[in-house]
Amino acid sequence: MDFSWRRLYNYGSSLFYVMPAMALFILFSLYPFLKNIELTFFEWDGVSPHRYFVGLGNYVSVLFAKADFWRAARNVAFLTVVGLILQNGLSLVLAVLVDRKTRGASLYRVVYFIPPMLPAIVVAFIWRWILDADFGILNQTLKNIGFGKLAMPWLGSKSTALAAVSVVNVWSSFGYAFVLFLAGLQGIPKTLYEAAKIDGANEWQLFSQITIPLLIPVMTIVSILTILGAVQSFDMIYILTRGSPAGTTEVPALLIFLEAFEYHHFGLAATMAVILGIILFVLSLIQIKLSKRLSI
Amino acid sequence: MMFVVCWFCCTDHVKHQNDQIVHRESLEQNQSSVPVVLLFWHYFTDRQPVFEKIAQRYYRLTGVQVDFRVYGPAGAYFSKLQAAAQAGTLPDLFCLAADIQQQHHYVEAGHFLRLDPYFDEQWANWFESRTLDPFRFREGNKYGIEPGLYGLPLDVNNVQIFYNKTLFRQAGLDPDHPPKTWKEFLEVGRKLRAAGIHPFFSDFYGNDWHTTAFWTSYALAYLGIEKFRALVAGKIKFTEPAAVKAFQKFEEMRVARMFIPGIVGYNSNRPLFEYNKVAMCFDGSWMIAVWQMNAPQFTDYSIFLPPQPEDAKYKVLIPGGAGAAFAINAKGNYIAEAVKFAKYLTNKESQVLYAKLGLNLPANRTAVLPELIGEKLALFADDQQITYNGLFDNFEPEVGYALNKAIQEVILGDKTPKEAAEEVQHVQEIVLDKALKRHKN
Repeated sequence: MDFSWRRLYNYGSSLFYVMPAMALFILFSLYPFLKNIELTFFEWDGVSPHRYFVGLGNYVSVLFAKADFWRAARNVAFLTVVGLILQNGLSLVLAVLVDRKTRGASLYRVVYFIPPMLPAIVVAFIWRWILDADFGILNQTLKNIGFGKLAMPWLGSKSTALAAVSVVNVWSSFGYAFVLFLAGLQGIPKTLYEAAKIDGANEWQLFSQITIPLLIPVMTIVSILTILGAVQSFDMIYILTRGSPAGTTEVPALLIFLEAFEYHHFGLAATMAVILGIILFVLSLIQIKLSKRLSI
Repeated sequence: MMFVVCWFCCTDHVKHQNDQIVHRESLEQNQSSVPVVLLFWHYFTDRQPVFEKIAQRYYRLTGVQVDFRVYGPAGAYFSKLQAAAQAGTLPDLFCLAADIQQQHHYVEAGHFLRLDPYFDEQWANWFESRTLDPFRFREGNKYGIEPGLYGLPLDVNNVQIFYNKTLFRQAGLDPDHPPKTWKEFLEVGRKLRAAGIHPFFSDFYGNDWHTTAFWTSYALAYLGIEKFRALVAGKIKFTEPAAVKAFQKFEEMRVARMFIPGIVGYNSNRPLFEYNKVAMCFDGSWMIAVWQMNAPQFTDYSIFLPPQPEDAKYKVLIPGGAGAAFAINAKGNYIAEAVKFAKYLTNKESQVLYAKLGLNLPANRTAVLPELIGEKLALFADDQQITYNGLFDNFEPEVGYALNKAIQEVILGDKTPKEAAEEVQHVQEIVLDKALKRHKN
């Protein structure tokens, strides 16, 4: 065979092996994705054989006329910020402690990873009962230790519902970040710490000058996953609050679900999903660019 | 892996399609030689044994098999129904929402059989006309659907206020004389609160129907049916003083501290009433069966109608009408057989069995026998004639959701009744404008 035929043969062979995976990807990911984008230009009730072309009408509606979509976006921004600070901060601290060969470190590794392994629906049901105003152990405990005045309907009050949902999110997700941070910490060469100690570095300097800079790639991944997880949260909110009270805990994913399956506006729901996807994509790009600047 | 999963998911659908093909081919050859099997989908897990008994009786009578398949819970069932409608694989008969307007798009797409040509006088006489209203599209309906009957009820229900007689006694109230007027109702609430008892609870969260149902009872009391119809059509506004008064009822209840704390949080399935945590509960007749199952020791309760406001021009009507309901697939292969079975399912014999085993009020009025359904359920039966479902078109879903949220804001004290009304009016105007543009296109 001459050279170009060989290249073609090699290329064709590679393509042959990749084809089944590509076919599945095209059929179950790319095709639905493109159909979803197509649907954004139509109005459809999900049952009728007819669709009505509306052009950019759905986009105009979501961007300029749907106040509840932007309120939901603000709610999810709150969940994201709490996740980034509280969840990831907690995970990092725990990972550092476990990495230091603390007594029981192996046990902690297992225990901290149990919450993420539980299905979201189980977590939500458990926490719904913990936070229940009348039967919940949180309020019962507060009353028993003399802090009865703090007992309140955590999921039924506008001032506490979103914070309560954030806490549940943090509890169920910190285990993932913990495992990733732990893996990252264990990948940092110990010789760096030894050399720094010889040069007289204290604990804080070790942490801020060695640990943090070398953990930035892991932090980037964890942050992206935290953002994606928060923005896509639906099952937890659906079981805990259904967006109550008075829309205080509504998130875009819940609104998309309502728009499609309760109001039968599939075009509008598809549009909201596309806009959400674009926002996530931009955020991820910014995240990656920032981490490239900060990392060593 | 995904391919394998999809294969297995499709087999049931494909099997049914193949079964349908076999049946169609059989029809062409010799209908009488192939046993007819009607497929009936529903989501009432508690009623599957009753349905199977009825199917057995029907088979003995006619030789026609009816295959009842349950797909619960309701949310999953309606998603399956939607997918089947899109794919053209709906079964011969299937349960639908208790108000056909919620599924108007199925009717528009031609999936529901119009029953008028089959609905003879004898069959019609089995039902109170009000029971069938939720399944009728009237002349000039906003969807442009041919007027007629498109579904049938299996049972009926209505929604009133349950009250706990034990807690009433504890608060020094007469358990045999519940409140009749709005003023009495608020006074009862105050006395219960003073006795350390939570007065009132209902599922006033998220997009739950209890909120708008309670509001609608009072909106009808102030507006009357004709004006309420005009409100739904957008011809009068939510900010009309009479309509604002319905929002005011929630404010008055809040001021009287009647609500259990966190009432606007997600409360579904919380065992509050049956475990003596709250004295009054706005819910439906089906709860009797639920409490009998979950808390059989709890029997010291009764019901009263939503109390009449002194300044309302009209009588308070209550939510209610059909509970479980079903329709016939207009594109099915065995329409004639399906209609015959529908008649059998709603006849007195089947309905008596249904009521006895299911503890629900039968849709067939000749089957309402107090000795079978029990004293408490019989109380609900007496008030079936003052239900309002089917008397008017429903609000668009987005308006319903906005109404829910606005009422929750009034309950929380974050909005005044007028502000709540303005918010809902704003959403109504946007939705009606979109509907008009869609209609023009």
